[in-house]
Amino acid sequence: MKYRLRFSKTGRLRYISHLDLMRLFTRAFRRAGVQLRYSEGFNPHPRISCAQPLSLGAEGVSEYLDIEVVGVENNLVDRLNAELPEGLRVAQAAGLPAENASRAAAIVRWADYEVRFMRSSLNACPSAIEERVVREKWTPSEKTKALTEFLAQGEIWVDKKSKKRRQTAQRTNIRPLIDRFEILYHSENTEYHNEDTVAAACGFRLRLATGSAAHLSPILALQAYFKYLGIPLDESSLNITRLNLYDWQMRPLL
Amino acid sequence: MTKQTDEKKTIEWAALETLLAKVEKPGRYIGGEYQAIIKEKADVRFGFAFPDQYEIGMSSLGLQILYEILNQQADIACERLFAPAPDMEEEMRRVGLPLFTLETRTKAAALDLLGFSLQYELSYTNVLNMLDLAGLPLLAVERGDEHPLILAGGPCVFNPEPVADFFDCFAIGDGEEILLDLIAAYKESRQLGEGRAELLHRLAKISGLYVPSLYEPVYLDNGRLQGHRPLVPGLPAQIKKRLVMDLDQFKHPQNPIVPFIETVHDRAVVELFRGCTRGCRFCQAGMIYRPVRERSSDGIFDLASELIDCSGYDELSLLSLATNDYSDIENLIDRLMKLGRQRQVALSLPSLRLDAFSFKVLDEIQKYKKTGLTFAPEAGTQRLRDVINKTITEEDIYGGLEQAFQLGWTTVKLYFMIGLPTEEDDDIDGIAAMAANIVKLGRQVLGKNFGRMNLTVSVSHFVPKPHTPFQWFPQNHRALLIKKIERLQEAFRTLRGGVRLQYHDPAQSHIEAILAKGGRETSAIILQAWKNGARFDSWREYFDYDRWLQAASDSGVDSDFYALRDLSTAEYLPWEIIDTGVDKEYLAAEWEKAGRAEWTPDCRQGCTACGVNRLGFGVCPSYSKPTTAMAAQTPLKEGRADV
Ligand code: SF4
Repeated sequence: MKYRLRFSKTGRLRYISHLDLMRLFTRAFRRAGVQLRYSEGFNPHPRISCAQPLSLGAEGVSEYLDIEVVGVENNLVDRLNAELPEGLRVAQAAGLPAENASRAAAIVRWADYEVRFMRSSLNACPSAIEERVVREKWTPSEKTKALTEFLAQGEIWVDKKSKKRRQTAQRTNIRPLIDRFEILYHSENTEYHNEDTVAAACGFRLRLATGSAAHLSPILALQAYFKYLGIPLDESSLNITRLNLYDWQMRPLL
Repeated sequence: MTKQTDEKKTIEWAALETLLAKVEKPGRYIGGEYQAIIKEKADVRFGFAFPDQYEIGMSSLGLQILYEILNQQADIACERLFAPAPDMEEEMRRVGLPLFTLETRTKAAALDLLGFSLQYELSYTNVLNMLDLAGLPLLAVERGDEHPLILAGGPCVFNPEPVADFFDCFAIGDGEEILLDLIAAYKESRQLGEGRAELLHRLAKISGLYVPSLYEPVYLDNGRLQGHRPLVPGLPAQIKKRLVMDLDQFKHPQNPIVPFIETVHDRAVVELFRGCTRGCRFCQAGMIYRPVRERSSDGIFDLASELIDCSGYDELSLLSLATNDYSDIENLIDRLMKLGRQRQVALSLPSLRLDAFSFKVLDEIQKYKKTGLTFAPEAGTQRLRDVINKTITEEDIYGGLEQAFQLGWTTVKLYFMIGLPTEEDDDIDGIAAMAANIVKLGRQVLGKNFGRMNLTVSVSHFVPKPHTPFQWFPQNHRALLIKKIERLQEAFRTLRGGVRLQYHDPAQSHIEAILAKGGRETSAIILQAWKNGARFDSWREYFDYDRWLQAASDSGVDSDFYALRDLSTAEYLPWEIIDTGVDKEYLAAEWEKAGRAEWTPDCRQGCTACGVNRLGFGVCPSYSKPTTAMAAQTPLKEGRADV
């Protein structure tokens, strides 16, 4: 039987890689007594796969995991949560009726992200964009204007490193891969409202193409925007949260 | 005074998090793994420090065992610390973040006790680096009541002298009981309001603990050591190692921490036994952990099944110095294989001797995935193998390999050492000759599959170790080792058919010898090397020989006094402050026999009177009356298959 799970990966667990996560899940399934089906062949692997790997350092609020188990399982959510460490929670599990149901990885097309500049008690480093916004006393409408102009470009060309040939970067037009690109302001986020660090103030909401056919990482999208603004971007100060994943009809995967 | 995790004693997650985005493998520093134990409040906070990176430290069974034992005590919190990788160290120093524990992010300097596990000598500069990152004075004499007590254990402390200046106290032998005794004494001392000096006096009286500041090395006119003089009355002249005789009393680890990130040994591990009876003359573990102490077969089985249930690992490995020596091995492996089939757990058996039974087992557990076979002949000729008392014969290896090739194995790795006592060019050539014979055998047996054969010959440089029959042997000079490697390379050049020759860095081995056999003066070299920037010396990419040579000359210490000098069996050696139970006379007799290429049998076949049975542990479990027929017995077959 195939199941799809929706889970979140937050807190400290954002610092473990996709492979670490797969290992972690495999072990948690074993502890919970859920028998995964294994692939055949010389090097059998458990049949378990994610809709789209989350990059190291990013949080995911609605992530999806497809599994294939021997037989039928009940109460997967509670049984798994009992075996998962803090930072990993399964919210929903659903059986995929058709044996030949497409894997989440095959149907995922879009992803929503929220990107914020990280706050730090040690080195309060205001992001360059906010520095400039403050220095030049940009109004929110001016910020929006810059963004509107950025998006109004018919084509946005960047050097995209291909996974297979790490060395060679490909010129890619990423404009079609951007569906939404919005700036988040102080007032929209009461949570950060009273912070005195400017760094906490600025963030972005993005909807970008994802999946094996066409993929744009939020970092690459922001790099392009900051390059357009002529402002350096410190990638290590970005706090990325993937909010959800959708199919081609913009339906969440579960 | 109860230490708690209040603000000043811990670092904030947010402070750590700003660094995590900048370093490789941030998962090393986050803690919170499955079955990690977090105690917000504890009477005694004990830091278990492993002076290498997380992936290596977390593969240590000793860490998992002691972590569990200490944390079972309600009033003790045992927390882990590892050496941050160079990129993390740089970030920590840049923002002034001190070394912290993974569990509660307690600053190392705020711990009550901080114990280092010393598994290899080349980790010594990491200890200093960690103390420095903790903001602690490196030298024991510079630390006071406000600092944690700095301890060390592990195989390296069987010669504690090279690092004696850095530690307050050493725990010699198995840690299970000794650490609890130590902590109990610590608590009592604290209750009585004693200072550090009184605490150290207390500890020095506990069996198995060595407080180096309470002993003074005494030198002869010629600069050689005469002995160690206790500075206060009532201290033992020698520190006897502490051992756990009944391992079944300590069923650990039952709930090991399951790391988030992949570690070197990412699997469930059960220990079969400690100690070894084979008596290889170069092997320190084989001498210092005598006598053999086995876990019961039922105990191992129970532990294994609990372990795989609670961890979710899909691989189980058995740990010991020579798996086949375990008394009930066939029965145990049969049961474990059944368990493995039930729970879909792969069994991995290191140090397996290649006999008929092993092949049956290997064939079953490797049905799908045939990993490599490993042999450790250690030396290239039978004569030299007799010298080192390694009883594997070439017939064993060829016979085993023939069978292995027939069963479909194609990947083979052989381990050798060069720079052994009495070694000649013939012995070096013998290594290449063996490789050539295996290639020939592979061609015969594998036929058209010969192209898939993958033979690796790994050559390391012999480093004489304290408390072994070879402790008196001067290590080969680096120049000589290089010549020997060149000779090997030359011989291998003519070999065709997928043979790879791997060898270690002789410079690293030279430093290892200095650190292994040095006396107290060696501390100055280590300190200077660290100041010169040395750390992660066991990592080829970080090791810098010049730093060490410079350190030796800066500190004005004759670094090679013990490492490269032909030592006399009559002289007192720095590590004689530690009593392993094996008599010096026995080691000397073995050293002499080695010179005559004379073989000593495995003492399971009859006691060879090493002396350890007199250490006061009761009867040596492997003890049996010496038999006169002893010499006539054939050596046990041996070989290794790491699967
Ligand atoms: S006392 Fe005898 S049986 Fe025991 S370890 Fe030593 S040689 Fe072996």
